[in-house]
Amino acid sequence: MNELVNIYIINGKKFECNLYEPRLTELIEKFLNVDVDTNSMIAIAVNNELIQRSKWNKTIVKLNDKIEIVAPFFGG
Amino acid sequence: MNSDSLIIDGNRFKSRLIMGTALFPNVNVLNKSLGISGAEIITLAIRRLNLTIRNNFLDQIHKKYTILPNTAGCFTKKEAVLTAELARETLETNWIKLELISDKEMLLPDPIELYETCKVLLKKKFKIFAYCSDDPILCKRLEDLGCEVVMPLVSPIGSGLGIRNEHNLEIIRKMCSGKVFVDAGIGRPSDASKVMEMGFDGVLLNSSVARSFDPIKMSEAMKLAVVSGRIGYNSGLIEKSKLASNSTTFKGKISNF
Repeated sequence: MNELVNIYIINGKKFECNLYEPRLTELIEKFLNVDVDTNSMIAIAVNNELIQRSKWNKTIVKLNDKIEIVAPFFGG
Repeated sequence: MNSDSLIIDGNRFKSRLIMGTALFPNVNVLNKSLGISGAEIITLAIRRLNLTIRNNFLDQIHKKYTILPNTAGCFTKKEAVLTAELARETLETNWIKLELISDKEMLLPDPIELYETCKVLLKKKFKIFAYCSDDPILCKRLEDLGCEVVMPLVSPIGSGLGIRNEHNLEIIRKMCSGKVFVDAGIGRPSDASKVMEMGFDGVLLNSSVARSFDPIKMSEAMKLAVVSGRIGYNSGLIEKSKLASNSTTFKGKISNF
């Protein structure tokens, strides 16, 4: 299965990769192209549910899951 | 110790000005403006990670501020609750400036959705700064519900229209005994000073500084306006009268001729 292109929806766009139903940490590292540690100033939701950072490495992402990765930004 | 310091959620602050961080021409101007404003609390938003901007937002802010994340742009309870949870996860704060707007043109708060969302977030142990319309009953209900700070607008966000319903603001101040900040619509330093003279606990502003010709100087003007208004309020303003009242005595004046 790993050779196939798998599609996940990250920040509203299709993200294609060779990971099949990976752990959330793996997928995010693939997407960001950097190692992600639990101190990263980001937060993640999967299918509109917050995934606490302590659970990133235990959460399995399904195909077509909708993932949101957010960070602080200028705001009033 | 400043006896007039502001206490929010057990934290003591000297400044009664909360500054937004959006719309500044660049980060350098933002940092200088925040510094000169004297603000100790700043607001920020939660947005999708921008892969083209590698700099962490907070790494660009020079001074250490207390962070008040917002739910700007949320239209529904679901959106706002998730945004608040994401903010807490990112920033490790229970504080949330709850914004729930009803339309894209006027950006007016949706009072019903706001109230219902407050109930959910309070159960989740958030400390809510509730951005709301200038309806005295709504403000009182939000306070009674347990919002940390109630934040009525004086006019629509970013409009700079200033105080449109002074009477409502007076009633809000009389009805709410807790913390009430004015949020949104401040256009000029005199607006900020005016609401502080009315006894509000503080002012949150952004556009009036960030979109001014000189945001750094305008930050200073807003700081002075808030301080001036607060000192005026604490000093006991005189009652207004429709009749004149001479300040210089007539006694001892030379005779009329």
